[in-house]
Amino acid sequence: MNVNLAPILEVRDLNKTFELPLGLVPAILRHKAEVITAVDDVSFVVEKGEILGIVGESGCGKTTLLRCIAKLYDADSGEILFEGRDILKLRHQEMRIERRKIQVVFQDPYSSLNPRMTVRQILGEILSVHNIRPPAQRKERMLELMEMVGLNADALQRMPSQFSGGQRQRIGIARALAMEPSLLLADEPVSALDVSIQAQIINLLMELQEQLHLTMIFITHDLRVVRHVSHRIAVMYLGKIMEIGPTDKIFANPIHPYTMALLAAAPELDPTIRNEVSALQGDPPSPIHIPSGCRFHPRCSLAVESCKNQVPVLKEMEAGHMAACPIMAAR
Amino acid sequence: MAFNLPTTLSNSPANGSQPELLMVENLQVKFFTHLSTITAVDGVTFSIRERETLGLVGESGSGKSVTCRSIVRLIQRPGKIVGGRIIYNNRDILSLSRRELNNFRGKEVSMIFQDPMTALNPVLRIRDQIIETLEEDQENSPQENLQTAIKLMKMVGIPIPERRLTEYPHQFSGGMRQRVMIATAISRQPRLLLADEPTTAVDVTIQDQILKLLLHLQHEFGMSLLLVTHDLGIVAQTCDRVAVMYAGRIIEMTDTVTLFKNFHHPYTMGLMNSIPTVKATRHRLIPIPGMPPDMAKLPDGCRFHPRCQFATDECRSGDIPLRQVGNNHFSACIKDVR
Repeated sequence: MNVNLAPILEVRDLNKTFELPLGLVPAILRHKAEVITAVDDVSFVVEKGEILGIVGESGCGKTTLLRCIAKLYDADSGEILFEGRDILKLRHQEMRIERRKIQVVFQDPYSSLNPRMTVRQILGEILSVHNIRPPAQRKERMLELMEMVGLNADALQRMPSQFSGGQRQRIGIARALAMEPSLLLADEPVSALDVSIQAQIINLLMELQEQLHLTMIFITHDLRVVRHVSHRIAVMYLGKIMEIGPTDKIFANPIHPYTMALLAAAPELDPTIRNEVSALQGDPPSPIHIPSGCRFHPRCSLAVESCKNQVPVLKEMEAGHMAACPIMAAR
Repeated sequence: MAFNLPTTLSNSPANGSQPELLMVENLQVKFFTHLSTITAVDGVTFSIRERETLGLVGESGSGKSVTCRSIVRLIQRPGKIVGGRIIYNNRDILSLSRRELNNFRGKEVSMIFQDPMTALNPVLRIRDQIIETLEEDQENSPQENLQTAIKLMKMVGIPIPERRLTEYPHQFSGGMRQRVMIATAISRQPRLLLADEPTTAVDVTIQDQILKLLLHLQHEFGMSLLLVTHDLGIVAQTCDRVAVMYAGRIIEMTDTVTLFKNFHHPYTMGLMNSIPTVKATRHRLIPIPGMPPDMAKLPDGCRFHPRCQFATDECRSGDIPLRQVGNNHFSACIKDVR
């Protein structure tokens, strides 16, 4: 597999905040609305043909980041260079064309498909709206898509409610692939599925990625899945990337204390290795009141005074492996 | 009776010498809907020993939660326990009167649920929810109950318990809510704690904390624990013994180490092969083909045979009961897989 080409996607200093709605009284009193910082100055590169995994706990901003890249949210500031063009600056018509190339597979296969449309209508709509194939070839294309995701041709006649969760996720994947994307964004695509079905979908995504030379960003909270699927991994905490690097290196040699805690917290599949002590104490802080300095410092066992006021930046520790921890960098 | 910490710590792992605390025999639970009758649990038999942690694993719809809820008789219409016995300490739970049942729940057997947001009452202060349980023992004064509540909150690791007791569930994070639920569940020092997917709704670092808290409390109070989960990693890390369920039946049951090192049933094998391991990256997983059966249209014979690579004609026709395949190792498969 070739990952040495120009990056297909480059995200630079991306920011996204959400204002919490004010109640009536605070609004009249002109209080300032509270702001959730979901994505905070995030920069990274995705090479053509690779799978980048993004891991983190709920509220770390991984889904918001993905939605900004898909332009389902408008980022506050920053740049998203897709094939060299900043998609945040594109006009509506231009974006419509680019959007074809960036597709999303959503977490919940139950709510992301229109329950009143047959699979044929769901796929047909995409093919005709985006004028992907001439009308005469669309039926053939739909059959091709069904085969790619491992469903029978008669599935086209059926409604989403007539499928199981795993099959629905296959339809979700077929819908994304119908657009012939070059970048596939998968947001927890297997989290809603049982393990035996999960494995089928993971295999399918990995096969399709290779066959179609797709680039993929794969979001998950499951470390076993991310290790299995991705070439590189980015670890997010409260809106920032704490560590990013090749999968093997992240797992063999985690640098950031948060990454270490995350890896230690994942239950080992070996009953003969048991840890008595919790990997990490306390709850993640609220994204409304992000701690000063390094946002991980209140839970970090290595934290020193300077961690409270200096925001660490990602630094390359070994080839392609970056972490935002000055303490570990000094070791 | 005021709440007292046990003075002795018992860290003895459960073993065969411990007496049995709970026995479930041939449990059968059906759900009657106007379309069909579904046998969610079909002839499940197992036991839990004193101080033991038993894991009940399976995928959605396998009947693990229904089995767990049956023990405290929390099966509601259209569901009904139609057969079997549940013996706790020589008493048959299924024949208890309403009043006896009230005294049994919480005092002898207690339960924590998957989603702490829906299991806690959103309009009651945490204090009132914990004290409500304590008031079941009528000898205690309100002051004693409050002190006990504070003690419990400390025990489950909630900081500043005096203040937090006056707050409502929405003011707590998911992990903290689960701790509150655990505090409520252990408030009357039950001998058996049922935990139905207690960490499915929380993040991995919080899951780690909650599981360790549960194990710690279990050792401290000498409780038995029934842990219902879909995650084999959690089983590996917490359970002494495991029962694997598929389509309403236990298909394999043994101690945890044997299950991971020397599993027998093809479904267990399928589950193990489906999980990405941390050792090898980017290899192909071996999924179980097909999907779990429709519980209204179960296949004849072994319920797993349509997905099983070893299935023979015998598997397709006759019922395959659990049989002993090793020391304390039971499997519902006629073929020797390994």
